[in-house]
Amino acid sequence: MKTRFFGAPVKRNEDRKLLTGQGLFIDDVELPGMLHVAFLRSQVAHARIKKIDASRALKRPGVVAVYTADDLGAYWQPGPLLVPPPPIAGIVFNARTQVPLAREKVRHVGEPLAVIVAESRYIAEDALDDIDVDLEILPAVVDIEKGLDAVAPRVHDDLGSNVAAHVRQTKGDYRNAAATADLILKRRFRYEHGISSPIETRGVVAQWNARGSQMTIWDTTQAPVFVRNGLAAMLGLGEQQVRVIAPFVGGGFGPKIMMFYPEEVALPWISMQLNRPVKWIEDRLEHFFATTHERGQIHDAEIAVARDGRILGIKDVFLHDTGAYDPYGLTVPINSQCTLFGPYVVPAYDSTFTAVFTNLPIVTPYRGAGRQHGVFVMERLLDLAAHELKIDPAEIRRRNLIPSGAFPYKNEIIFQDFQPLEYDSGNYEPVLDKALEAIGYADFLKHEQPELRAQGRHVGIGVACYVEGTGIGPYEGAKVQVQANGKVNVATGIGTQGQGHFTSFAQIVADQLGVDVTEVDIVTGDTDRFYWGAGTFASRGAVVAGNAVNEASRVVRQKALKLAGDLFECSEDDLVLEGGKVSIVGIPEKFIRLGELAQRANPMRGAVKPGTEPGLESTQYFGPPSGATANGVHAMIVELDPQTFDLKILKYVVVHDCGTVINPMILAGQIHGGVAQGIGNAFYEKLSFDDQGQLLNASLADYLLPTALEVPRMELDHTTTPSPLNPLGIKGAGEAGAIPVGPLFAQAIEDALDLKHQKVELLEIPLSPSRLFELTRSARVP
Amino acid sequence: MALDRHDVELSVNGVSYRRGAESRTLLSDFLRHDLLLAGTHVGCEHGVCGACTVLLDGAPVRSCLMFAVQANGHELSTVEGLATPAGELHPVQQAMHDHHGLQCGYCTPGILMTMTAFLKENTQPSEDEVREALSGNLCRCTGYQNIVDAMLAAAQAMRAARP
Amino acid sequence: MRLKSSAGEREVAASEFFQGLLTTDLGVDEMLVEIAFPEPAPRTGTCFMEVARRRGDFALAGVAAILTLDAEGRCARARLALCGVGETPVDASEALSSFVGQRCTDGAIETAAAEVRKMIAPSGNVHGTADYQRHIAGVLTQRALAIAHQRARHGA
Repeated sequence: MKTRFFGAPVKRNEDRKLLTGQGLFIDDVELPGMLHVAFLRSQVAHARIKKIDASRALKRPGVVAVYTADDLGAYWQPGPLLVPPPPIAGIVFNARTQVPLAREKVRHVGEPLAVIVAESRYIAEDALDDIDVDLEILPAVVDIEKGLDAVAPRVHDDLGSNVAAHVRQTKGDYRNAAATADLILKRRFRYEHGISSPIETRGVVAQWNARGSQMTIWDTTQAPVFVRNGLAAMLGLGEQQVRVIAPFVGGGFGPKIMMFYPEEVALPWISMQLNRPVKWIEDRLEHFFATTHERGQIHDAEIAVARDGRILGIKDVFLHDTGAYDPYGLTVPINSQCTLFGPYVVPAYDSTFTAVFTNLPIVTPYRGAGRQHGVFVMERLLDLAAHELKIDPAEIRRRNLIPSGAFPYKNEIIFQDFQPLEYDSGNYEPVLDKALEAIGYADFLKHEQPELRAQGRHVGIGVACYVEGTGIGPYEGAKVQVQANGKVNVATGIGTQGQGHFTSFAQIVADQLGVDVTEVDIVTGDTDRFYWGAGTFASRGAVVAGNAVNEASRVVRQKALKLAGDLFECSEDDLVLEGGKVSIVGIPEKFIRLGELAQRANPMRGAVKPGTEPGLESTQYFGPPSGATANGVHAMIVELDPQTFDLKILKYVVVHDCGTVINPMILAGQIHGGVAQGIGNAFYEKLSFDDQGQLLNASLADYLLPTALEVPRMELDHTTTPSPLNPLGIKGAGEAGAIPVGPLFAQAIEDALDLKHQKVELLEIPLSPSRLFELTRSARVP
Repeated sequence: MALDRHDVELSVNGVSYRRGAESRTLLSDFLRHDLLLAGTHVGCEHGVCGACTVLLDGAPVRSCLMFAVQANGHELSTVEGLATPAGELHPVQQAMHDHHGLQCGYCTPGILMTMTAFLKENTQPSEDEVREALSGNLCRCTGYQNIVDAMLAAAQAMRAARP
Repeated sequence: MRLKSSAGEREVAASEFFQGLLTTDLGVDEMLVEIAFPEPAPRTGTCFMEVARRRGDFALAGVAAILTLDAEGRCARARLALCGVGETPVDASEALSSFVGQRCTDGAIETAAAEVRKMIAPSGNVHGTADYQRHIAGVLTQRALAIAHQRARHGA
């Protein structure tokens, strides 16, 4: 089978629609008789609800209804636990999930108290001021260490503390490792990841059709199938009565896979109550509170190394801020715990974490999903050890890389897919070599840096390595169907938020069926078009859905060849599938178009052989036995202004291995975007809460997303170590760009400002010019 | 309470419209929900992200920071007017396609409008100038690199096409 | 600064116009129609610089400096103002009082910067601590004065 499209930088099928403003996004859905919804949200982080009086709001012209928790009756219930705790011995886990409207207590700023339905969004928002709320304000838990004090206020009164979870995982024997070490280094690290802040916020449109007993929901979700299943159950409907459509979604990045958000749960119910379509669009201010965050962890970590820099063991005890509720279980901290290993041989590991409830918005995965935190700790420990042992930072990494012959490599501890962590394949040293070559590492340290320093410039270099567990199960499915007009239609259950599925999946089909990539129409995220699946998350779309698409196309290909073989009375080996036709090898005039073949496969009359399936279509599923581990190295040269601490990136290199690549252009775009978010995380984006849980910078003017002036041009390269876990050999790549940027900044800035000699260590992210000023002032010569 | 309704007459992409609007109706809402030109997107409603950028008499403005009544008597250009009636893409649109300058596509219309105005004024921009012009439009997906390449290519294509 | 309303016009000095955080002397029915600067004397150099997190963001500190030299190259007149470090723009020209009649040496510039740091009372914000603002106000003062001096001597 020739591959014409697979592996090529094919331009995107979906572009024209988006470029001409014709893509349907959630707020573009306009339905006759549609009403508009606004949520009254708590302005305080922690309070007991004494009274909510909506009587004034109901009197406002244009207001159709106002609901509070009590009005929901039996419909009101805490959301389901989306991710149960992993099967780890001795685990402590307290599940507390969010509710559609707060009852008795509010636990974070932005938690919904009431919902208004009105003729227009403007009137609905006006009416929010008409609702009188009587709250008994309580002290808030904001600091995760203080949250564990015996006297700390309790986020959940029925729990004895603010402990959401306690997990310990070990590998080997750390105590033994420490006893034999030549050097043990111990530090405290703080890592804060920020919010996803896609340019499109969330939204839900719900339309109850009473006559047809059908509910249609448009939702900016990354998981339409599970949202459909859950809402159907809550609404007392059959799954076939509910259709969830994820239209074009303007950026997902993780928080849009959180499910059963209060708004998602409330809107369909409201539509049923009023028998009118209803729409809610999150505004940017709401997004800072109403959509989930990732936030911070505090790690007390120690590394035991041999004199030559080899890691003997790592011990880590960390705290994780899970927010007011923990519906997403322990995915984020487990990822931190597991991804800390990186691409290195770590013979002994003892990692314990405590997830702490706080009076802050819920924490669920955001691009990287906790991997950043673990990678920061490992990369910084290696840098500190390198300095102590007088080993070059790139060299100490090289010495610890898992050798290429050691795969599949077992790290033993339980990963987010509930399987023991195992790296399927990898070849790490060439990736490091390529990155060092591309950044000019040796030359920079030997020539460029000394020359520039002599000119008074403060330049520094950083290298960071990471792995990314991708492509996890459970499974995805795809239905491929050749239509009578020869175009191929494909449906899959996952959604799309810009990753290019409409093109990358089409490339797979086009190669299997010998059609042009533009002849393949992909439908994603519509539960009426494909019933089953889990969703777009954890860098799994291309791996899992891509392989399902491949399987289904392959089966359709077989069917087409078999049918044509019967038709031409020849062997299938004598046939070629190309240009949308099946023809006999060497006799191109003897052909039949795929579309016509599809018609013939659905006879109007006559008999068919038992077991025959009509048409040229197939539905296939793919579920990997475990996740595929991708890896990469980032390198960067920065220049710092030693007085203002302003930073400029002079060069940025990414070398990445995600196995077989479907579309290198789309892959590069994913890396660029991930790095941009990583740069934001490392140096610009910081959620500033006060001690009562108020977010002080809840606007894009003060929560600083990088612009085209802060994100540099990047040089990308890749190696290819296919995954043995799926037929296409693909590994995921969606989160890779974002993962190692924090430690890269710390390392490069330390080098640029020569902080090691000032005995200043950068052990936290995010950094900023002001923070660098504060951290270095004690060391500065006055 | 007296009815707050004003006549707004304007042209968008060369087509004249006349509608009633409240004084406080935002231009972004007016375009999207009254004129059903939903290609202009709303990202923040505080004038920072640039997704809502349209051209008012040829100059880029944040439609989320304008009232519809302020556009009365003016000529607006939105993303829907960039391609020719026959469907041929504007060089800036074509370049974005060629260089993979969009992923989710949500910020894209704002970028297209900002940059078509920019490239009219600066027909031979450097990369730094392009980045500066782009710095008022936030994109969370692309990391900007391909957008910059697209704009440099579009500038070149537009120079070549000029008689 | 010339303010105009349907009732007439008035002129206000900049020092009286800026009154507080986001507050000016502008009346609800007035529009600012003109800002008048004196024409610069020969041998005058100016410089404005600011530090902001991203281009176009509110400055964490910004400094404007004007230096006029006499025929012998000594400072005849010096003005300095800062933005971002108080509730209004700050006229810090007093910090340059030691300049006038002297040569603008590095030492004189450093002294001026130290004076500016003492004069201002920034309050800090989510983007930078008050101490950081104070620090960069001093750094920018040094740099702006040096450039203004260069420009006064050699032209822009």
